[in-house]
Amino acid sequence: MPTRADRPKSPLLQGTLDLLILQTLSLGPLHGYAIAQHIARRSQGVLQVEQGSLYPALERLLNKGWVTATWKQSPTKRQARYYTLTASGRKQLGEARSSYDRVAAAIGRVLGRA
Amino acid sequence: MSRVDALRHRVSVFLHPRRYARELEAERRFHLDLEAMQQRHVGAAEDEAEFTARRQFGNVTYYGEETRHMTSLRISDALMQDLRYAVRTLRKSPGFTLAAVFTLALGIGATTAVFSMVNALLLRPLPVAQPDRLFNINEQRVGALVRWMGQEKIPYGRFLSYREGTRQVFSGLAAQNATSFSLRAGSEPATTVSGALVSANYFDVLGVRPMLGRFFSRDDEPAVVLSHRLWQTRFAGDRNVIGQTIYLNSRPYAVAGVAPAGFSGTTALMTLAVWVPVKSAPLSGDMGVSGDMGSWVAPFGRLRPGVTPAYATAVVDAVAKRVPPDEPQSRVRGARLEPMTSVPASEHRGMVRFLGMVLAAAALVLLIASANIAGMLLARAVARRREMAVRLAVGAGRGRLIWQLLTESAVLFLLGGVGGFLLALWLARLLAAWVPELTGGAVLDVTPDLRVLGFALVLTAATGILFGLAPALRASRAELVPALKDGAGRGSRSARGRSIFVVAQLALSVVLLVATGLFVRTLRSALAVDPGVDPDGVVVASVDLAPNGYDEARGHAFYSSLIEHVSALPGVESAGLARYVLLSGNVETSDIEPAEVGPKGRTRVNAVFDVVSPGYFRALSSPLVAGRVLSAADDERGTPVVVVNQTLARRLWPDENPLGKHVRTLDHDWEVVGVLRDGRYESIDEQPQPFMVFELGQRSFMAPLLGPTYWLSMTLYVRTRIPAAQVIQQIRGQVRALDPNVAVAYAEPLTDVIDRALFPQRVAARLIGIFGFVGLLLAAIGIYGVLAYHVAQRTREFGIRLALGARGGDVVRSVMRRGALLIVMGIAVGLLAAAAVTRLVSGLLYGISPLDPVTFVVAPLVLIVVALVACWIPARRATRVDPVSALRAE
Repeated sequence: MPTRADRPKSPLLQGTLDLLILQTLSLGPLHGYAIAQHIARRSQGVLQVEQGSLYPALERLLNKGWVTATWKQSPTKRQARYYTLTASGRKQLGEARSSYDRVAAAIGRVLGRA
Repeated sequence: MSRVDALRHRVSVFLHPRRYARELEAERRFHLDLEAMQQRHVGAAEDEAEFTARRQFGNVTYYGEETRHMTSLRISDALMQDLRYAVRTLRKSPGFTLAAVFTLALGIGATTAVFSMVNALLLRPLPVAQPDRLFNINEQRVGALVRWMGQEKIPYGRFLSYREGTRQVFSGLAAQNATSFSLRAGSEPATTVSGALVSANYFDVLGVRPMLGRFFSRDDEPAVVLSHRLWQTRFAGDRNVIGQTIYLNSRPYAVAGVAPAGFSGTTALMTLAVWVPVKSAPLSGDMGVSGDMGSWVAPFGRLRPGVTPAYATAVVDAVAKRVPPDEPQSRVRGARLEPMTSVPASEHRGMVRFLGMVLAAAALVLLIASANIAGMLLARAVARRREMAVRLAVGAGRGRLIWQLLTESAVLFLLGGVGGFLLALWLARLLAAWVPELTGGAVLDVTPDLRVLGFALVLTAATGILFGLAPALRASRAELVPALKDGAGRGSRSARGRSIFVVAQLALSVVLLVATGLFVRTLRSALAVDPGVDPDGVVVASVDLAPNGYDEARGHAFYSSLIEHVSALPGVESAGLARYVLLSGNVETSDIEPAEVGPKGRTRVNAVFDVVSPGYFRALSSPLVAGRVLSAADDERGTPVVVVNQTLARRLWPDENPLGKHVRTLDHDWEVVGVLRDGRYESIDEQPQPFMVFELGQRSFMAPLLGPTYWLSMTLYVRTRIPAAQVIQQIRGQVRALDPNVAVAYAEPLTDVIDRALFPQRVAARLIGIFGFVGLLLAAIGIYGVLAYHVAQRTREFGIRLALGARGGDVVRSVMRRGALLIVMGIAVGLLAAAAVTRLVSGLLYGISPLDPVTFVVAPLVLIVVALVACWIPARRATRVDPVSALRAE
């Protein structure tokens, strides 16, 4: 079984981290580690969220009021900080998704894969 | 909603930074532990798992910084950093900092000090409960009038009628009558103190509680309440003073209580020391025209909750019209309510005018001072271009640079503000020391309160932002490449900026000088007022026989022999009697109309009057315009005669010769035998008002009206060639010789009376003069600074020109030509601005146009001279530039 470090990794497209976090949180409140795990798992290990940039991103989302944070007990019986999507965060997710779709489609067209 | 969530987050982080740091750390630990667990799960060794987890997490320190930087902590962190940097920068140039802080402290201090006077006189409410519910009743009377602080006094009996008729609107109606007493306590010599005769409910209506003892229970009990100040100074704060007997006008009074500290009556213009019940004794003082002396009072009341002033006015007016006056000759047209303020409405306008002028002058000084600081900052900004460019180049945002520079000027202005406030404390006390002279004894409390503090703060902040922003914007606009290259990349744009600043500085100075010039000229014209008499060498002395049990006949005999003896004194040229002291604010008026009906019907006017003995006119050198003055021949066997002033004559007979005409007033018809030049009677800055004089020998004609005790209080006017103090002493001696129990109530040279009347004008003129001078000095320094800097910037150019063979004279001419252009522009802009600004303050001016040509010519001339000198000195210096060093310096 190959370790993660062996797999080819792709740098995150700028600005997409926020989108990924918001999308992940749309499933329900999660702590930071779970968010990172979820993104890695769903991208089959291609998208590695460098944890050092995950928390600043979360802080940024807190400052924008798109997520809120509360301390709750995790399944491992330890206190963890859980992030929850707010209503305005949900709205922002919609906007970010459609804008991403437009950009992705446009890039696809440029690359001749329309 | 997102704003609310975001704000809550930022605030909680800001309020609990430590807790938040702990939370972040806990979160990090949690993450690392889970990661390590995961690593172990995929088969890593224990220490390797830890390491991998850490590596995966990334740079911890950076992460912490990043997170902190993002949240609101950033604001305070950056501010602290800016503050530290600002303090460091300012400490590096102590000369600049000191000069700037001192200049600012001067401006802010002067303005705040004047404001604290405005606060104490006009803004601070009376030290009583709910002062906004207190109102004076001001009757509109014709006939017999006695005015006090702009309010018509009414007889005590009439006050009781009001109290009866207004119970539904006033929870209490009280009355007061301010006067002065001769106070004797223990074995100390008697002194004169201000006091008031008040109704027993006076303190209750005001809502003032005794500090010690009790207040009054009846209007006629022989009790006295002392002011806290008097209790402290005269009785050393002795609590046993209650129940002791003191003597007021030689009459015994038991001390009932002491008023609380800070309470000294209902007007800031009079500091009362004692209060006694209004009917406690037949006191004299300023009197009414009824025979019942000392009992005319000024009524005031407290509105019941829910009663509007408009409704109360209607009720009061109805009472005024329903109840006929006690004296047959008086009629009452109605009554108004006026809010009780610490400066009576009648004095308000004059007070606003003087304080307004002084405040405006002080504010202009502050404006000039601030402009100077802005100029200095601007010059520094240019000098620091390389520093700014470096900071920009290493990635500082422009916004951040502006913040930094604003912080610097904020620190500067804050220091100036603190210094100014301290200076204001001292200056205000200095100013307050003048107040007793201004008001005849009133003590003003100028201790700064929150309002003064707030004023100083707002002033500091406003000037700081206004004058700190432009230099900050300017400095942050450094053009990178040239600034870094040689630190001297001065484009035409910055030169233009400096030129604009020179013009602005000059314009501001013109406004300052014109405004202060107008103020000073206004005050000068007030000082040059003609009192209508020749006061030099005249001594005034008042004697009151009422407390000594005289009747009219004995009183008349007393005054006749007093005049005889005083006239015989060596050095005395003439002596006369009158009822009132000129310009003391005490006057008596009566309605007057022509006895003959003219073609246009009868005109009725209200005129100030006095009753005098023959020596009066010679003693005062009253200037006669027509006819004759009154003489001893005008007695009760003769025709009733009167002398009037020009204004009275003009009002009653606009186009006719008043001599020989008859007037109807004071229950009689009187023949006009003389016309006096207009003078001032009630106050020095009054509008010309009608005035008439009767002869004491004919007092029997008005006797039924004025009552027998009316003649027991008289004023002596004595013209002498010897020093006033000596004469006063001799007059006292003569009075004592006639009756050892009678004292001279008051005596001083008439010039002192007039000086005192002119004191406000003189103080204001002096203050504005000082402010104007300081402002001019600052303006000169400022103009010199910007012009010298302007020239210094061209040092390199001069070096080249001198190197190429230009002569010193050429350089000077070039500098002067450029300077002259700026000066002309600055003066022109300033004159236009001044014309606009003086229109705003035209309400403060009188006797002078807001576009007074003298001021508008002299002020710019002074500035042109200052500016030319400021231009010439650096120009001269420029010629001594050594070409080689000038070029090398670059």
